[in-house]
Amino acid sequence: MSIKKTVIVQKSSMEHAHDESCQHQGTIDALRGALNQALIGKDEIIEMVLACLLARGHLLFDDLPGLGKTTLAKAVAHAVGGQFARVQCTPDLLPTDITGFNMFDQKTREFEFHRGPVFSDILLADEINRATPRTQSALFEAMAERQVTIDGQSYRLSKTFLVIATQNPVESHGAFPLPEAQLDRFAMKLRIGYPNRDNEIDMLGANIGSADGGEAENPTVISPNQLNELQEHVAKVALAENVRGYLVDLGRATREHRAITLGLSPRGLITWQRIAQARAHLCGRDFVTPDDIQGVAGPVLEVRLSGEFDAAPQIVEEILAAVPVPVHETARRR
Amino acid sequence: MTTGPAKESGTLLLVSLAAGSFAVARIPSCMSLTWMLTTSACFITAPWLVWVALHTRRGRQIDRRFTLLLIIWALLPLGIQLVMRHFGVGDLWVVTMLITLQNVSLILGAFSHRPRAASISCLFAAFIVLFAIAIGTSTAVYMVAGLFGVMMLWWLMARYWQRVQQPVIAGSIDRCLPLRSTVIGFGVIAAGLLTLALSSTSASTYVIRGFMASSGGTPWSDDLSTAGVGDGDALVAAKDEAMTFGPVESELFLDSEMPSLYDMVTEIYGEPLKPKKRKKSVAIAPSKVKVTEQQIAKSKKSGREFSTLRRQPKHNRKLLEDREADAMLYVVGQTPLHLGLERFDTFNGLEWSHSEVTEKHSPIQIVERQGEPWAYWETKTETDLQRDLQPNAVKIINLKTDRIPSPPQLTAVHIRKVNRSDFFGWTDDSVLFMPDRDQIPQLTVMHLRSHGLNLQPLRDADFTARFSQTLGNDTQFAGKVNPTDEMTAICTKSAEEGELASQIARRWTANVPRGWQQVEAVVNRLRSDFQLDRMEVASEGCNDVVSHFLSAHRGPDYMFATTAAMLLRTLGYPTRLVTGFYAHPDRFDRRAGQTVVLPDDLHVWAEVYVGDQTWLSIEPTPGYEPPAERMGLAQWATAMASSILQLCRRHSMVLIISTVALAILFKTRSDWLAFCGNILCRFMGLRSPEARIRWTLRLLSWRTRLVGCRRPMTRTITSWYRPLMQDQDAHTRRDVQRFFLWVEKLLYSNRVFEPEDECAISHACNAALLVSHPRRMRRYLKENMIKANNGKL
Repeated sequence: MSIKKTVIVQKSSMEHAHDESCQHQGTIDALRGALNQALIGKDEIIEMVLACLLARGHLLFDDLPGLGKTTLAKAVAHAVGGQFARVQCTPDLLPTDITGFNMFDQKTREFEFHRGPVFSDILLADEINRATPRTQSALFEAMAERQVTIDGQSYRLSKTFLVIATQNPVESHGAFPLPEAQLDRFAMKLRIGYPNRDNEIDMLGANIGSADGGEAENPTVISPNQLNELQEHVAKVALAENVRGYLVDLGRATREHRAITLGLSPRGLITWQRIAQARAHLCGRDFVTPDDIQGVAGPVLEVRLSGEFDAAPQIVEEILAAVPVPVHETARRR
Repeated sequence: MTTGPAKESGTLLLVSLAAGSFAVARIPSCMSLTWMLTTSACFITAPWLVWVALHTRRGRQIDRRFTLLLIIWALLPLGIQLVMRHFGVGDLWVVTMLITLQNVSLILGAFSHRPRAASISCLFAAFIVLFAIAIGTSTAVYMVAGLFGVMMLWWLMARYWQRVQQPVIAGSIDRCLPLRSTVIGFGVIAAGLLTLALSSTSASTYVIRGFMASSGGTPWSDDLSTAGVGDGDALVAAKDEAMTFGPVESELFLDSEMPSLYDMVTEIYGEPLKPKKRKKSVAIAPSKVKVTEQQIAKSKKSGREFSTLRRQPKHNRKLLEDREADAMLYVVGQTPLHLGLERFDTFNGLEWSHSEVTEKHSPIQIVERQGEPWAYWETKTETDLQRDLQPNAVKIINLKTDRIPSPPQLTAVHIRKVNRSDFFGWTDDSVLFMPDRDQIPQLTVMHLRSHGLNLQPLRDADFTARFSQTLGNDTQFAGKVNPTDEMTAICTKSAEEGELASQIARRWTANVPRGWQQVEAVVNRLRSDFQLDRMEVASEGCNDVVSHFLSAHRGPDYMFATTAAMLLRTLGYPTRLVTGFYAHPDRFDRRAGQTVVLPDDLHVWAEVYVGDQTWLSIEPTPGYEPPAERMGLAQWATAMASSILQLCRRHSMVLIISTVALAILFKTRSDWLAFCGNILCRFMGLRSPEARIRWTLRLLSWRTRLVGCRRPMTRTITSWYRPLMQDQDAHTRRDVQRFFLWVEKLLYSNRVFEPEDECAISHACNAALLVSHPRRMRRYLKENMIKANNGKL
């Protein structure tokens, strides 16, 4: 009798989970649609952005000017519907300009805390590599621990706090390359790249007739609460032991690779796992496959593996080609 | 990367050292030291030249010719060997095989910038050194091997560090066979069938025949061997000492009764039938009769005459064969072998006898060969007939005779420690014997050397012209010859009542050119048209045995020999009869490495005179192998080709049908393999939906191997098989996608697999099998494969 009962219970829980996942899929589809509207013909990039969003990871866009980095970041901010802040990084930007500062109020005779742009749901740090390393470091604590400490006082940031940073390629003049410690706090680095011909024609067509440069107001499709719920759901996506082993092997391979000076850190490994979970969730699965891990390997590793500008994709390919994919059959035979 | 392969000489150096150690190990056993050292030096130097060339500007081009160079270098020793064997120098086939291995290893060493080539090269080198240590006796071998060991260690260390320094060796994890599995499969089956076809005797199941050359005992014995594999001359030498002789421990010598040759001939062929002489006499009372014990003297010969008119052999009493001690003698070396003991040159229609005329022989002299005394005499046989020397050894066990059982074209005899020529002599009937002794002592081991013969020159021209002159255009003697010396005259003399024989002989040899071809025509006719039957003897009143045999079409072997001799005599070829033993290959004792000759192997055959004091044995009796003909390379190839052709012609229908069937099977292999796979998959999947999915996946994996598009271990299942969904309708594609989702669920989900819908799973599996038909796989996964390979290279 007891066996029957558990079966029934399982079934009901499964049905519940099914309904829930259907609901989630609807939300994700709406989000996807909104972002697709903002950036035409970049489905893969948008999938990555979504994965990053669901994994609570911070995003770094690395590309030439004018390819839609800021547009996409703004679209994400608007779609999520939270508080949006934007910092245009320049060499004279100070850390307090980002985190906020205590100002003495003449009237109340007290120090009053003025919140900086980090107290938002989505922070767009434009051209982050133009800020001085001192200012860049101001974002460390905010990104990793979702809190800032000013004059000994810690302030919690939003649960869905997300940094979307853009940077021009390192070769540009007057840029301060991000230090490794900073880079490791980003979940992934994306390159948007030029749109293809048809997409560019469509883009031009959309631009005709709108005086404000075609940047229509993006609709809000999801509330920060909903996003938080989604993020919590993603964290529960299962990773079987063999897949985890595979992930660890890949991480170790990065440490053994000759061209990489600093291999993947355990924090990087955790980030990779989370992003893979998010991707599995986006694909409608409740478990991660090696495909998910391979699928997000590029953006996740490229931000961490310091090297030449063009070498990273090649290195990632080599690492993936060095670790066998787990297949249960062979594991059992051994 | 465009400058050519990375420079690395360590591997080649290592392999060169291995080759050097092998050369040092071969020094004591090689026939010509200069030749061996020259070839070894060439084989080692040339790969270094290749290596140097590889690192010049044209290195890329040479690198592309890798396979060609490998094949040439591997086959070169074999080619050289085939040529050199004609000149009497060369190596054993085993050694040749090792040189081939050494060359492969050297050339791979030259191409050591390819990781796999370097590994295989070193593996082979290690094997060669191991072999060198096994065969080498000098300390130099051990020293070189020790140096090799040190260098190997160094090489391994270098390899390790190289590996560590390399980014990540792409493809190093992918263990895949270089050839397609189907090709390998078919190759293995073909090799198995070939082995079965070639080795028809039961003895061959012991070891594949001829794979390892030996110095005696088997038909695969090699003249170039100085020591044997288990059954060689070295073993015989060890048995020269009576104390170490094997049979001493057996019950052989418990029975001391040694049969004389006369007894034996009588037992095997029956007693000679003497026409009864009747005398008139008067009976006397039994009481007055005095019985005297009559003793028959043992004879060392089978009889003064050899009568072809005999009683049936009696089998009611105990045969020699039934006794415990049965071996007459042991033969070491190649069999079948005819060992002549007695020769008869005169035939009167019933009986063979010796004539008074004796053949002249060169004097016997003692020659030292490898420290051993050999009794040797000059032969006048033309050099174009002679081939390489064939070694044999005969051990006398139960045979009581002073005559040495000698193979045809015997040229030298060696008995250990017998270094005086007066120990040997010739009998009247041209058989080598040991004069002044009652018999050859038991357990004597006699080493014999005889010439192999190449009969081709005899076939090409009429050999009778060498010793005779035709009597003008006299029609009566047309085709007959006038012998020039007495000996041949006797041997050409046919029995008086030879009219029938003469007719038959002419009929058989009509349209056959005069010479050895006519001899062969007669012999072959006898071998094919007549039956061996020991019990079929001529009746008492018969006075022409040959005619009797020709009409009866059956008889014992002496009838065959007599008839062959007489038929050939009517054609003008001098012949004579030989009795002796036939060492039967079936009696080869593998463990002792020798052939046992039993009383039953007593045999009669004939010889034909071809001039220059050369008598060639012919074997007219079916069931007995003719003396082996040593052929040249071209002849051998022609004979081989013709025998293969004959075999094909004989089994043409079977061959055609099987070829067509195999071709169809091969052509449609994708279809029937797919079909069998489907059935297997369904059958195995009956247990559970999980099993069904697993087996479908397994089948998919097998199919990728079959078409040579195996999933690299670093690629995920879904990404590898995705191209298979191309050109499929939405329904099938959805099913296949579901299949792969289930596969992933099965492999990567922590949860217990719960099939939602067994029917859907079945559909999905079927769809997966449908899209993964080998032909489709070949089409759609090829691109995948190329991409994967490019990524690797």
